[in-house]
Amino acid sequence: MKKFIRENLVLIMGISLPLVLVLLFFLTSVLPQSLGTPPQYELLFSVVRYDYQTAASRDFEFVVHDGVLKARTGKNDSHNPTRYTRKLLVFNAANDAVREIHYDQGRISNMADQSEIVLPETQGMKIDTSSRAPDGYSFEGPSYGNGGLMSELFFGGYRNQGYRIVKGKSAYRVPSSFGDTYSAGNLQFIGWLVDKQVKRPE
Amino acid sequence: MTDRDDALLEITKLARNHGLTLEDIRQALTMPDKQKQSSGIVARLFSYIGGIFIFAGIGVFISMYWRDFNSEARILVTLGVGFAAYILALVCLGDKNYQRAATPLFLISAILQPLGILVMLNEYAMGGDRRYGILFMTAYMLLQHGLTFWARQRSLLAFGAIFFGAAFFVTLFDIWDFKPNLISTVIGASLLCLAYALNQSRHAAIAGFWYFVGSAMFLWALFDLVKDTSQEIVYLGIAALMIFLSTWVRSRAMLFVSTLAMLGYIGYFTAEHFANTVGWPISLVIIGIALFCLGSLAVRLNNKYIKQAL
Repeated sequence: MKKFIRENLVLIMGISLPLVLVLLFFLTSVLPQSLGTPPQYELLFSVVRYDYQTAASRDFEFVVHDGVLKARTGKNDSHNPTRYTRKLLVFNAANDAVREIHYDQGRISNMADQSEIVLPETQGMKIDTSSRAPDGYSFEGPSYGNGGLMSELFFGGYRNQGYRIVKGKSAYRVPSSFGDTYSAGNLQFIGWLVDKQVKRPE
Repeated sequence: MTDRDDALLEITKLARNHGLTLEDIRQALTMPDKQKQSSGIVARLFSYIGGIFIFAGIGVFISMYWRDFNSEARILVTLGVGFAAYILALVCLGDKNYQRAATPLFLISAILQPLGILVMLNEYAMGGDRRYGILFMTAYMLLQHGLTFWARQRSLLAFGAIFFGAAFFVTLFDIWDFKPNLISTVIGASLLCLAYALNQSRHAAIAGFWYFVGSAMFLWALFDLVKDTSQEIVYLGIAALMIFLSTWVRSRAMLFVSTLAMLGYIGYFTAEHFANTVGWPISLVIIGIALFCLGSLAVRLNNKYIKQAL
């Protein structure tokens, strides 16, 4: 064995180099995640998507008052209809899954200017809008780049970090796409669903 | 060492790499083989042209009817033909009379099989990140080429295994969002090591290509890593070290890339720091002199340490 290693040292080095990088990645990224406690609360966010079939005369935004999600309408402008729709999405980090909360956008468009409505689909949800969830995980955008030497070395700060929820060395990335529903380039953080704790998958 | 000594050294190395005995060499030297060699070249030429015709025919057939094919037919004409070519190549390897046909068949299978796997994933995948498809394809091809190389020891299979292995790791690291420079540096260094190992074996014919690719990847990424940092000047030292290494491992490809990297860096450094102080014309003269000196040095190194040994 020793003789084989001595005779083929360079070959072994050549094969090992990428494997060492894989090992380093596991030690710095996967290991802290698997040893740490996964996020207990789901992340609620919205994305804006262009849809040429939509022509609503009134835009709206999501707001949270007293832990309740509401849709607040803007001014009615029938001359400049908006072709953007807002998707409401929930990221479950423990399962690494994103699900969409479907709601009736037509109901919002028919409301008066500057009014607020609680969506029936989100009624009963309690939302914490602080950037740090009660379990210590915080939401960080793609400009995040202060992850220490290893993070800087491997991921290079801004480029591909994307949106993540982070606690210490443990980080979970929000998938950059979910079917054909959204790309995470215009993700808007709403808050954490604190009314129920996530069950870890068996 | 004289030219004669160098030649003897090389013959010894080749004989050891290919397991040739003194008797084999004696027979080869005494055999009057001019006629045989000539007919062999013609036969090989025709077989290569034939292979090209077959491959071109398959390609034209596929492109003509591609829109009319359903998913199964598309997979069959790409992955199916590729896999059949692979099996045929294995069969040819087993028969002494058809061994030469194995190389073009392996080549056809190495092109059509990855294409077929990507077509299959394109037809049946339910969305998701396409890089996982490429990862699957490269993993399959790496396994196929690696295991077949293990069993059959053909240079083309070693080439394929290295190619798909490098592509696999590049895709994997890209999925993990590693910095492109880090990926290129590690894969480049890895390829340089593999090229060195190949050069010491009977597969030395493909070492030059991997020396070229490995050193180009390594030096390009390293420059990007150190550019505009306080360690930038270190690049010059590394390029010089690579030139030295190229004479040690006796690789023209590595010497060419390293010399080009050093020239490029000198050009970049002069343009960056001296263009506005001593003027652009004088900078151009300095670059020109550097070009002359390095070019001449590279030719001398090649003649003294590499050419004689090859």
